[in-house]
This record gives sequence, C-alpha cells and structure tokens, in this order.
Amino acid sequence: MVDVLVAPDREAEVGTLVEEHEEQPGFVRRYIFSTDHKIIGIQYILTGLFMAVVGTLLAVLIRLQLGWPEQQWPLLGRVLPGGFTDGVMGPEFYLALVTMHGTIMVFFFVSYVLVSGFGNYLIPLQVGARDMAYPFLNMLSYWVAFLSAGVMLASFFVTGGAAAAGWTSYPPLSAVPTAVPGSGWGQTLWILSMALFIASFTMSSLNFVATIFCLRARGMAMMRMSLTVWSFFISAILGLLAFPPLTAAAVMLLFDRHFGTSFFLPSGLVVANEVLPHQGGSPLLWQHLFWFLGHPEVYVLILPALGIACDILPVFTRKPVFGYRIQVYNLVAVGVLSMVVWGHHMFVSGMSPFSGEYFTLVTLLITIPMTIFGVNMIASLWGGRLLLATPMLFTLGVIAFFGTGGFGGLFLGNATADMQLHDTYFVVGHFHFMIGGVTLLATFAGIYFWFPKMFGRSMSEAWGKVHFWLTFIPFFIVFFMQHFLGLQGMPRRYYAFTSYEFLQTTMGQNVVISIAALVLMGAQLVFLANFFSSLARGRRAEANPWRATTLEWAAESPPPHGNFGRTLPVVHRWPYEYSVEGLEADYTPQTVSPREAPVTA
Amino acid sequence: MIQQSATFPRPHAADAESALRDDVVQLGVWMFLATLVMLFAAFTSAYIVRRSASDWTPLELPGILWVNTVALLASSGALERARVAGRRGRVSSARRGLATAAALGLAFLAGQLAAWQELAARGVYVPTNPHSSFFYILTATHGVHVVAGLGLLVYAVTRAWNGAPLDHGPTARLMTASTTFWHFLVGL
Repeated sequence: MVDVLVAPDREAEVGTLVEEHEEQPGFVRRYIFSTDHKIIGIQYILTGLFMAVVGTLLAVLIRLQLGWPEQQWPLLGRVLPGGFTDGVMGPEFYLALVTMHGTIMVFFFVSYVLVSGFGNYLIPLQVGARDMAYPFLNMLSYWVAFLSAGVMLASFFVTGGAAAAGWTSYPPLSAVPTAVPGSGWGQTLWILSMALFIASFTMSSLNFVATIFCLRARGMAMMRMSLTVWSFFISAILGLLAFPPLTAAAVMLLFDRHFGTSFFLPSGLVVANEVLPHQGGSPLLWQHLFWFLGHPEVYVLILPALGIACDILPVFTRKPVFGYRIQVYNLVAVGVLSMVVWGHHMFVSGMSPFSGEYFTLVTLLITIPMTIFGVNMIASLWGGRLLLATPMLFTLGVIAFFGTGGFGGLFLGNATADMQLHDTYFVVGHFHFMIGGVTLLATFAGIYFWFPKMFGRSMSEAWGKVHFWLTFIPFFIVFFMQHFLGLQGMPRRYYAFTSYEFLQTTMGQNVVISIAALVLMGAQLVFLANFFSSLARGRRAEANPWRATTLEWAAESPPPHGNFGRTLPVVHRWPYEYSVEGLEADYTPQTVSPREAPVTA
Repeated sequence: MIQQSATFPRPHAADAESALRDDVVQLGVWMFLATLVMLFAAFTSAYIVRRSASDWTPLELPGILWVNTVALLASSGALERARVAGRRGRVSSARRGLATAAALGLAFLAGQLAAWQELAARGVYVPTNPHSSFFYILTATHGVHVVAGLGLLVYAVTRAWNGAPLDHGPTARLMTASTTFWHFLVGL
C-alpha cells in the first residue's frame, strides 16, 4: 500500500530532476567529481580493478616463496630492494605481502567492484530512479574511498614497509610499534585507511538503503525487486550495523599504539628483551570487535554475488529463477544470523565450551538458508534452455564454487573439527572459494553481463570463454588442493614452513599450486585486454542485448543522465517473467502492461 | 493496486516533492544514528569487558560534568521548542530557541574542556589508568559529534536569521534533522 501512496507524488520529482539534468556540466563535474550514480559506479569499478592488479601482484610474490622457498630471484631483488636481500625474499616482507594481499582483495577489490561499483550502478537503474537518494554524499563516499585506497598503497613506501600483522591485525603484534618492521608506520596507515574505508562504506550504505526504500518507481513493490537489489539492500543494512564497531576498535588500537593506553595490551609483554609498561588489556577484545565486523563483512560481499548470479541465471535459462520469495527470505535470514556467529573465528581462543557450542549451533543454522539458496540456484537450471554465453559460464562457476567452498565451511563451523583445522591451509582454501571465488566469478559475470549497458559496447565472447576456462580450472586446482595441505597440517602465514620435517612432503603440492596460480593470474591479462579493447572497439550494443526483463534494460545503452528520459518507467510485474505460456516472446519486461501480457507474479 | 493510485487525490506537486525529500532526509538521519548506536555499543562493550580486569581503578569524575549534562539537556529542550515554533510559523520564537540551543551547546563543550583540564591538573592523563583512557576517548568521540551537531545548528541559525522559511523547505528539514541528531547526542 505504501508504494501506491508514494507513487503519485513521484511525478513532481520527475519534473525538477529532468530540468536539472538538462544543463550540461563540464568535463570535471561530469566524469571526475560527478554526482551521477553511473559514473560513480564505474569509478568504483575501475579503482577496484586497479587495486585487484596490485593484490594479484602481491599474490604472485607469495606463491613464488611458497612454491620455491628462499630461492634467489636476482631481478626481483633489483626491483624490490627493500623486500629482498641478495635476491632472497625476507620473512618480514612475506608477512607484509600476506597482510596487504588480504586487505586489498577483501576491502579494496571485492568491496569496491562488487558492492560499491555494481551497487551504485545498478540500484537506481533496477528500481527505476533517476539517481541515488543523496547524490552528493555518494560522490563524497567515492572520494573518501579513493583516499582510503591511496593511504593503504602509501603504506608500502614508509619506513618499515606495509602492515604485517595479517589482514585481521590482531594485537599485540599490531599494537606494539616496535614488534616487527611492519608494525611501525605501515600499521598506523593501515588503521587510518580502514577508518576512512568504513566512513566511505557507511555513506554508500546509507544511500543504498534510502534509495531502495524511498525512490522505487511506481508499481515497484518490494516483492517485485530483483534479487540483485534485495541482496544489496540486505548487505547495506549489514554494513551500517556491523562496521562501526571496528571504528571504535581502530580508535582504541591507535591509542594503544601512540598514546600509551592498554586496551588490548596485556601485562608483562616482552618485546626485544624489554618489558612493556602496558598492563591489564585484553587482546581478545580486539578479536571480538574485529570479527563483529569481519563476519558480516563476508556476507556483505557474498550476498551481492549470489544476488547477481540469481539475476543472470534466468536470462540464460529463459525461465524464472526458482523460489524467488524463498530466496528473499533466505537473504533476510542470512543477514540476521550473520550478526551473531562471529565467534566461530575464535574457537581456539580459549572461549568457554558453552560459547563454542553456541557459536557452532548458530553457524550450522546459517548453513540452512545458504544451502536452500544454493539448491534453488541449481533448481533454476532445471528444465531450462541453457545458453552458455560468458556471463552464464561465470554464473555456473559461482554455483560450483559456492557448493565446494560451502562444504568445507561445514567442517570449520563445527568447533570440534575447527580446533584441528584452525589457521591451516584448509581455512585458506575455504575462504578463497567463498569470499574469493564466488565473489570473483560473480564480479566477472556481472562485468560481462552489464558491460553493454555501461559502455554501449559488447565484450568479446570468444576471449570471454578463454578467460573463463583459464580462470575456473586453475582456481579450482589451487584452492581445492589447499584444503588437503590443511589436512596435512600446513599452517597459514608461515614463511619458513620447510623448516618442519612433516611439511617436507608438501613441497611438490606447493609447486603444482604455484604453477596453477601463475596460470590463473596470467589469465587475467586476457580479461584486461578484452575489457579495454572492447571499450574502444567492441561491437555496438543495443538497449537490451540479452533480451532481459529488469528495468535497467528499458534504458538506453549507456543510459543518459537521469536514466529514463522524460518519464520514469511504471512497473507492472515481477522481474522474472520468462517463457510465459501462450506468448510469442519468451520474455516480458517489467514495464509491459497487464493488458499486453498476463502477469504471473 | 495500480488502478487504486489513479483515484488517490493527487497532492500539489511541489508539496509532494518536499514531502519525499523530508522522508529521505529523515530516514538518512535515523540510519546514521543506528550506526552511531553501534559505534558507542562497541565502546560500551569494550568498557564492560575491560572493567573486569584486575588493574581497574575507578576514577573520581569532576563535578562540573553534572553542570554540563544539565546544559546539554536544556539545549535539547530549547531546540525542540524552536522546532515546534518553526513548524507553527512563529519565526522570532524559533530563532531565539535555535540561538539558545547553539549557545548552550557551546557552553557544554567549554564545560567538557574544563573537565579535561581539571583531570589533567590532578595528573590524570589518557594512559594513567584504563578508566581514564575510556573517559577521554568516550568524551572525545562524543565531543566530535557535538561539534558536528553544533555546525549544523549554527548553519540553521544563520539561515533562520537570513529569513529562510521555517515551516517547510530545506531549513525546516535541516532543523528537524539536527534536532533528532541533537536529542540523540544528549541521550548519549
């Protein structure tokens, strides 16, 4: 009912906004300090892709050390004299690599491209709005995000190098500036960059929620929104509630480091043969505050990946997504549960067995909606006419990774098994499938799928397929094998793992993983080449090249400022009207009136 | 559903746009407050955890804090009166209320600084003991938000004095938003 009441009011807004959009802003206002959600979305995507290249180069170095430990690389020694002594990688540098690879990929690649990038680009288009609810805040959010990425990159160039306490920055390592070289300025910049990131993400999330609540087009009831929009909606709410506690923790960590407080530093800590003056603090407190952000964060990232997958599936099966309503309820259930499971990252922290039991229980509970979600995605394929275009291949990859990675999660979610597997490569393999693989493949699926809308040109299908297979197969080899390294007891983040006799047998496996990883990373060059050459020379795309139903395809490719011309679209049906019996076309866009085609949902 | 909307009385276009903007701004303020609740909840839970450690020594807080609390409460009351007066079109009363609220807010900040000075004079600094660390960080975080709130108030005061209408439009929205925000800070 609320929709119906708000709907007529919208006419007024249409009028003023069109006028606003008629004046042509200059180049700077249009492409650099733009308040247009589409430009901001593309800015986020390009920034995120740049950070991904940086993160990938770090991963190359990590794999070199793990595949060929302490090998001499004279050329690298000359390029990176700080990290290599006589061409051999130093252990401190390795720790900084691991830390920065994790931080950059989680916060600056996946968050920027998948959540902020696609979120900004798609939400107004898919709900039928002209822009975000607070366009200025949106621009501010991008530039704060840009600054945050800049500060993080700058930390490579300060004395002592980048932060080295892991992407989770556990104290005391992160709280004592003298602990390791990377605990110096690198760590301080890390904290500041994270605070900026959270501020920027909060601004984006405010925009996402307000736009979805207030600016939907006439007829766009909540239960007519695409699953992409639903997933952004839930993940934005999670971001608003889960991220601020880390700001609080970051402030306290900063005070511990620079102003002599003891929030996280316990008594009697000895660093470099000196007893530190701190006393009474609790390092575990940081872990709680970090994971209170950290766990919802993984859902903030993976829910949009799943939402995007659910929107691409029907287009390439030509049938509705299976169980739309159930999928929405699943997203809500996962959102709620994700706030109360953070302790499963801390099973070995000496928590009471009762807490362990509780966190095991809620973690296993959250697998129920997630499993239903996955099964519904498989059911969406059932009986469909599969068209194996590049976006569809990547979406099928999402389902495969989601199933494989999720299976490993069952072991880790259970305190008893986790005690054995904690901090081993089993964990590394697991989260790379989920927060790494599912999100990565969904990002690619989204880019191949919406590229024609964003730039008015299509990407090469042939190269897209090459890119898919060269990504999917090596990725699977790398991270599936890492599960077995973990079962053999190989701990994560160890530089000199070869010093342990029982790990000598893993050397061969590590070489195979490193080679597969190098193939995987090399394959991304195919993507970059395809992306940029398609920008310049790709085939011109029409408004709706995939014959899809959602609102963004009703706009031109690329959509003009204000998105929809003089009048906003009116929505008459749900977003998955495919292959309705008795109709000639196998799809009916959301804007088609009930007089022309029956409404099925 | 859709047919129904056609028979719904269509409000005046400008009013409708303004009402939509009202909703959007109000929703934004409430969501922002939700994030602040989580921020302070994190500090509070850390406080509770840390208090159970053996080195916790309670701090004797300066008496002026009570005066500050009263000042901030009074400021909130004045702002609420100004908002109501503004909505009813009583301009001068609204202006006076706004100015009083801003002045009392400034007084609060001055009082907090005085409290810090008193503590420092007693030799209690940030790292002295965990209670003082929390006291300084919490009051500083709160203070930063009060400064932001004051910024909004001063902006509202100048707009009100320059004759912007207070019963509708951007300034009224600004007043409602800053009032909500201000009440929240007082509550903290």
